Amino acid sequence: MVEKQDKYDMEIVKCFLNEGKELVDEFEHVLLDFDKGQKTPEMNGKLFRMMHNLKGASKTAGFPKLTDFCHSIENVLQNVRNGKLYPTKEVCSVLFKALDLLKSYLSGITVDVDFSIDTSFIEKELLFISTAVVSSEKSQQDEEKSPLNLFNPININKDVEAPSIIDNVVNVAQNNSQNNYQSESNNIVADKNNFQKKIGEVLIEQGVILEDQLEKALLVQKNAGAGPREGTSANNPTIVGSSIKEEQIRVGLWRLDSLINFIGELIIYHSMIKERTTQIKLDDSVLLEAISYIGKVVKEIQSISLSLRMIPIKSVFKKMQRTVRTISELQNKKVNFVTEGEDVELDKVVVDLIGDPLTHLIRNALDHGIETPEERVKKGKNSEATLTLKAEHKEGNVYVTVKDDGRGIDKEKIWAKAVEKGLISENKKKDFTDDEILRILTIPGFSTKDEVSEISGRGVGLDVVKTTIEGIKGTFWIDSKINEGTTFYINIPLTLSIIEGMVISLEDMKYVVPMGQLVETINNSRYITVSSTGKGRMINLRGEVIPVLDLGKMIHGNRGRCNEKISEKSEADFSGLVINYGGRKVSLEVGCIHSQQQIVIKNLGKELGDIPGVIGGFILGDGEAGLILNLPEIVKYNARLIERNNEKIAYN
Amino acid sequence: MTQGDFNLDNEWKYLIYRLGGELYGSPLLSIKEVIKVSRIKPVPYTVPHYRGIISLRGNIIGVVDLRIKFGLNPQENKYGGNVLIVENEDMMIGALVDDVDSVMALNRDDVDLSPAIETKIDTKFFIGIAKVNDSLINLIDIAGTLSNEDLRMISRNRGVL
Repeated sequence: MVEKQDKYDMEIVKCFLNEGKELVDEFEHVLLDFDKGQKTPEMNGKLFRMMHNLKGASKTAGFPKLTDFCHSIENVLQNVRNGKLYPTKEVCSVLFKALDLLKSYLSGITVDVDFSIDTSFIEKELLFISTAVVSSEKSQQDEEKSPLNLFNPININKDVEAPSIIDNVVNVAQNNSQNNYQSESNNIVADKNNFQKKIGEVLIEQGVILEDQLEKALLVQKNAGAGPREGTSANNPTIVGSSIKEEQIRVGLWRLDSLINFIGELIIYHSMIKERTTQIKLDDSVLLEAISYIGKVVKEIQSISLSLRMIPIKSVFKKMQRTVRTISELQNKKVNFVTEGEDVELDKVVVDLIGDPLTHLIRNALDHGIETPEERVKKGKNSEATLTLKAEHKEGNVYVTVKDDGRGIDKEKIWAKAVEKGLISENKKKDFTDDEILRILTIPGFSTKDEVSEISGRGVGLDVVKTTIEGIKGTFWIDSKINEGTTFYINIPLTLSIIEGMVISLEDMKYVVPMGQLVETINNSRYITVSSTGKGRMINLRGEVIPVLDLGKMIHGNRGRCNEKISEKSEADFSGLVINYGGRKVSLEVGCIHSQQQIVIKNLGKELGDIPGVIGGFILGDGEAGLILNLPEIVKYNARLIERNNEKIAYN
Repeated sequence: MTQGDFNLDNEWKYLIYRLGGELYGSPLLSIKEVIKVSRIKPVPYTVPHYRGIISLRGNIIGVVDLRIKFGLNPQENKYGGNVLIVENEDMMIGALVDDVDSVMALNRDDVDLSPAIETKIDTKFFIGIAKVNDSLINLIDIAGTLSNEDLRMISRNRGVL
C-alpha cells in the first residue's frame, strides 16, 4: 500500500480541485446555454476544451479513474463536435447526469483523496448515447453517399432493447477502442448503427455478437463515414490553446473586509484634513489641490474595493435553469424559461443566500402555477408557458421577480382555508385587500403538507421564503391573478455589510445615519428657530414649518448628554437632518454633519440585539466604535416614552 | 461555570484587580486579555452599568462597568479604564475595572468559600474570599457574571416599542 503522501502531491491535488471545481461550474453554465438552443460549434468547442482540460488536470493530479470518466464525457462531446452525434435533449440530460457525478466526485476528493465513486453506470450511458443518436441533419446529408443511410436516427430507449446485448456491443466497442482514442468514437457509432439495423438483426437471430462482424462494420463506417465528416470538422478549427478566460485570484472575504475598513478610515482622515484646512484658513493652492485630488482617488479606490464583494446573480440564475429543466421534464410541462438581468451584482453573501428561496419559488411556479400543455390549450393559452426570472436595480435596491403565466392563485380558496383554520373570522372579509389575502400564504403553519391538495399546494414553505428574505433585510410579496399568473417579488438591499451613510456628530461623538432615511440635510445654515408656547421649536424650511427635535437629547437625554449649548440658541447656525416620520417631515438637530460615505456595518454584541434605534456599529478612522442609528425608530421610541410619561403624570 | 467547577484543591491562578478601592480576583483563564481604553461609546437606551462599546481589532465589543454593576463607587481613572476582555460562551464582552493589580496563585487554604458577607454580587458567581497577606480579595466568576442571561437585561425600557 502506497502512502497517501507518496501517492499524491497534495499541493497539486489542491490546485486541481480548485481548478476542477471552476471548470465544472463553467461547464455547467455553458452546457445550460447549449441545452437551451445555442448549439453552435463554438459552444461545443468550449465544452470539449473544458472537459479536455479537466481530463488533463486529473491525470496530472493522479486520479486515473476520474481521468477515464472525463474521457468518456469528452468522447460524447467529440462526437458532437465531429457531427456524428446530434445534441438532443437526451444527450444533454446524460451530460448533466455525468456532470453531477463529476461534481460529487470532486467534492468527495476534497474530503478524502482516496475517494472513489462508481462511474460505470453513467459511463455506459455516455457510451450508449454516443453510439445511439446519429446526427439527423448529418445523416440526411450523407444519405446519398453513405451506406449508413440505411439507418434512421434512433432515439434512446434502453427499456425497449435488450440491455444485455447493448452492453455486449458496448463492451466490444470499448475493447476495440481502448488502444486508440482517436478512432474510438468512429468505432462506436458504427457499432451502434450496425447493431441497430444490420448486425442487430443478425444478433437477434443468433443472440450473440461476433467480433469479426463488428470489425467489418467498423470498416464500413471508416470508409464511408469518417472521410467527409472529418472534412467538416476541419472547417471548425478548435481553439484549444487560446483560452479567453479572465485571470482571477481567490481572496478571502476577511481580506476584502479589512481592506474596505481601512479605506473607510482613509476617507475619514481625509475629511479631517479637509476640515482642518478650512478651519486654519489654509492658503496654499498646491496643497489644497493635492488634498482634493487625494479625495477623488480615495473615493475611486473605495468604490473598487466595494465592488470586489459584489458578484453577478448569474450563478444563481443558471442553477434555476437547471431546476426548471428537471422539473418541467418530469411533469411534462412545456416551459420557456426567460432570465433577465443576469449581470445585476449583489453582495456575495446575499447571492449565496438567495438561491434557496428562489429555487422554492421556481418550483412553486412550475409545480402549481403552470398548467400542462393540454390544459393551457384548453384555456386558449399558448401551450408553452413562460416563466420569467428577472433581476433589476431600482431605488438602490435589487428587485428579483419570478413571474409565471399559469393558473394564478385562487384567493377565495385561501380565504376559505384561513377561516377554516380559525386564523380569521368570516365576517372580516371586507377588511382584507387582495394583497392581504395573498399575504396569508406566508403565515407560518398555514402552509403545511396537508393543505397542498386543498389549496392547490400554494403556500407550501412560502413562510420560509419570507423569513429567509427578511433575514437578509429584504421584503417579499406576492401578486396573482386567476388564469393570468402569479408574480413573486423579492426586494433586497445590494449588500448586507455596507450602507451609504451620513456621518454626523453629537457633542464630540460620531454617529452614522443611513442615507435612505434622510430627506435632506441642513448643514450649518442660518435658520430661525421658533419656540412656540414652550412646547418645542420649529424651523421654517422654504416656507414649510417643521418641528425640531434634539437628537442628542433623544438618545442620551436621560444620561444628561444632550447638547445644551445648541438647544438654547434661538437664532443661530443650525445643522439638522430632515427625515420623513409618519408622513410628515421632522428635523433632528445634530452637532455637526460631516460627510456622506459608504460605511461597513459591524455587528454589535448579542446583548444589544433588542436595543431600539440602532442598526449596527461601525469603526471610525481613529479606531473608535460608533453606532449606526435608525432615526424613525428613535423618534417613535421617544414619542412612546413621552406618551408613557404623560400617562403617568395624568395618573398621578 | 459555577463555583463547583473551580478546582480549589490545588493552586489556581487569579487575576487580581481593583473595583471601587477593593480587591477582586477572577480566574485568569476566563480573561482573554486586558486592554486600556480611553473612550467608551455610550449606547442609548441601555442600563447604567452598560457603559457602551469599544472597538478591538476591528470588532465591536460591549463594556460593562463592574463597579456600577456591583453597586460600588466608580472611581474615574484619569489614565482611562482597564477593560478585561472576557470570552463567554460564543461572545466577547469587556469588564471595566479601576485598575489591574497582579496575577496571583491561590491555594485552597487561602480561600474562605462561605464567608458571611453581604454583597450585591449574585451568590451564584461569588466564589469566596481569599486572605492574602493582610488583604482580602473577593473572588468572582467573571464569565458567569457576564453571561448571556445576565446581559439580556441590558436594554432599558423593554417593551416600549
